Amino acid sequence: MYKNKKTHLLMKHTFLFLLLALALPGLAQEYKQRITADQLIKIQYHKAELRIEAHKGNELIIQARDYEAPPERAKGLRPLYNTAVDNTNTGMSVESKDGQVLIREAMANPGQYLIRVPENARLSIEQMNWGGNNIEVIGMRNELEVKSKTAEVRLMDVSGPVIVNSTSGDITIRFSELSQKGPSMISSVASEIDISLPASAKAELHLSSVVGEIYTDLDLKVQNKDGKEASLTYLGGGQSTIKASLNGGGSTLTVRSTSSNIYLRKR
Amino acid sequence: MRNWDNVRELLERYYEGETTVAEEQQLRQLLQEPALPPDLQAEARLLHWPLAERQIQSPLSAEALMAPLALPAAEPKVRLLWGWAWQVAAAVSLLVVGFALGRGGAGAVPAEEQPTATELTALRQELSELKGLLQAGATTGQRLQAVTVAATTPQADAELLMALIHTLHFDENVNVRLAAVEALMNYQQHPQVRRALIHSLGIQTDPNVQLALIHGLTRLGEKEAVPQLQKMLQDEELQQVVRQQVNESISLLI
Amino acid sequence: MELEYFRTTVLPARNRLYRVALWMLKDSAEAEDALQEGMLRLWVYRQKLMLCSNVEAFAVRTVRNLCLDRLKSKQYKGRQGLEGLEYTDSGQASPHQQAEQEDHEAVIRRLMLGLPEQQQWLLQLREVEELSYEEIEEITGMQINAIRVALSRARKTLREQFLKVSSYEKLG
Repeated sequence: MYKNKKTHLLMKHTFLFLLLALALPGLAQEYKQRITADQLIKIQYHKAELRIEAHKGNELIIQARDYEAPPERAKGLRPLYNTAVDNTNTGMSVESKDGQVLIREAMANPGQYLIRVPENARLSIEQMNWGGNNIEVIGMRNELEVKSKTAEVRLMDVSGPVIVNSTSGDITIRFSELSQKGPSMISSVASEIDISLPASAKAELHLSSVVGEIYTDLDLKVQNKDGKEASLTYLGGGQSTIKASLNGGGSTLTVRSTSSNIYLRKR
Repeated sequence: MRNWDNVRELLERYYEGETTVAEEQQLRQLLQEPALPPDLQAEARLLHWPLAERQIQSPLSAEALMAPLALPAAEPKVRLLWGWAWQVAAAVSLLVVGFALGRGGAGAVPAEEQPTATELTALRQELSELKGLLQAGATTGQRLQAVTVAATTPQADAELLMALIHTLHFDENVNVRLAAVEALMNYQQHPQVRRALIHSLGIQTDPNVQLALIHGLTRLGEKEAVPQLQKMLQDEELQQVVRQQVNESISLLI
Repeated sequence: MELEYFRTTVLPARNRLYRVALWMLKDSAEAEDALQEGMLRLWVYRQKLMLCSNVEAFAVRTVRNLCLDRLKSKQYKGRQGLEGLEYTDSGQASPHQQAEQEDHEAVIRRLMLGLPEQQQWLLQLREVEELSYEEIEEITGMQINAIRVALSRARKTLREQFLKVSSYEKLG
């Protein structure tokens, strides 16, 4: 009976705390910086779990969900493993130079981060070594570059151009529209690629998988599947690139995989 | 009679790294005299070696080296003002012209729409901008765009090919390098391009780019690639999927 | 205008640039490619070149970097044959003095290969290319005093080993 009451109280407290945390995001560690239009924001990460959201403002906002400040006794000392300096009090280092803003981890065990960036900024994200966490990006409206090794890459409601490569992390991309500003290209070695496009998107598609299959429900006009290339298999294995236009053609969208399937769908 | 002690003193300073270039020239000259004292004869032989080395000359003449550079189109001064936007516009318009030309070649466009001389001059100018895009610090998207356009350019010159080759070897983005492989495959008739594709096998570490190169070279039936492929097999870090393809390609090419 | 500037400042260095490339890559076809690539690179840099205090030093550095890029490629690892620079191990003394000198040169080249790479590079820049310490400083980024010391060491080592080898030959 007594015990129950205590648990109840505890739950109530947790609930209150959660409510507070939600209502006052200021409680989480936060860093803000103005970004000029079309500036390149470069994120290089090892371990952090990143979610990047576009917003209409002109600020870069870094929110650490579970940031732990260095211990008190480290005061006046500098960390040796992490040469990047935590100048944001979120465990991330932010440096501006040569027209770029470079964001790097500045602590040994970074946790979850929500990074909010202007939707028109150019963004480049790179997983620096094997074993990092996944990458999720939402709502970007400009050139977006992602270099992944093992991280799963999810790009939701982006317009492109997107340039993504991965070795073994699956890639999922949902285009809100397909930008005609430049070509997009997605490549992977051993990870599935799943792309959805608006039915009206105009594109020139170049699709190839060396040993996998390509599945689609898009209304493609395949250009090179004529008598000349009756067999799509090349000398030395591997299948040829399928070139097809979508809605009369537009910017180039290249998708290539080595050993996995490619899924292309209508939204 | 020459005072050989002066030479010996010069020699001593030479070994201490204290002589000037002029003194070293003088020293080498003195040591070539026929009546050398015995103790200086070995020194003479030792200091003689660079003279032969200096005779080595570039097999490429000044003209040969200048030829790819001699593009009359002076770069417009507005570049600094407009930056990349201007160049991308140029590259895009090249895409349009290139597309038109491609169509022309395929016979889809009537003869009167074939490019005129002025169009060709414009094309040439745009071509040089394209190279600029590949060589300077453009964004990844711009570089990918440039490579994509370069793949379909009807008249690639040596400089553009060189820029593509450099992109293939050293661009920091895997996708741009992959696109460069595809682009270069369109210029397979140039021995320089085939050499570069083979050479790049030794540079690339990304499995996707490695596979693209191997597929390309196998498709070309490029036997010259075999030694390089065999070398790849010795790399313990080579990914399994690449290793398989290398083995298969070697057996096909031999 | 730019073309003329390029022709008069960069092109005269082509023999030197080729020698540097050949020395680094030990392969004439590769060296030729590197030279051509270097020229294109320098052409791209031409405006920067005009601001350069020493164009030749800049050019040498550019070509060297290109060669290093090429060497990084695994193709070179394990490659040993030195085209055109083979040392023949024949013990017979040649009757002609010229041939004898060639033999000496082969010996010296072989000995050079045993030196630390930095010393080899300094010998190449100083003995073959006759560059001043200031120019070598600009190319290598080493300090003049360090250049002097390393060069002196290289010359002395070469001398010592050469004398040793020659005395063996006399005994034989």
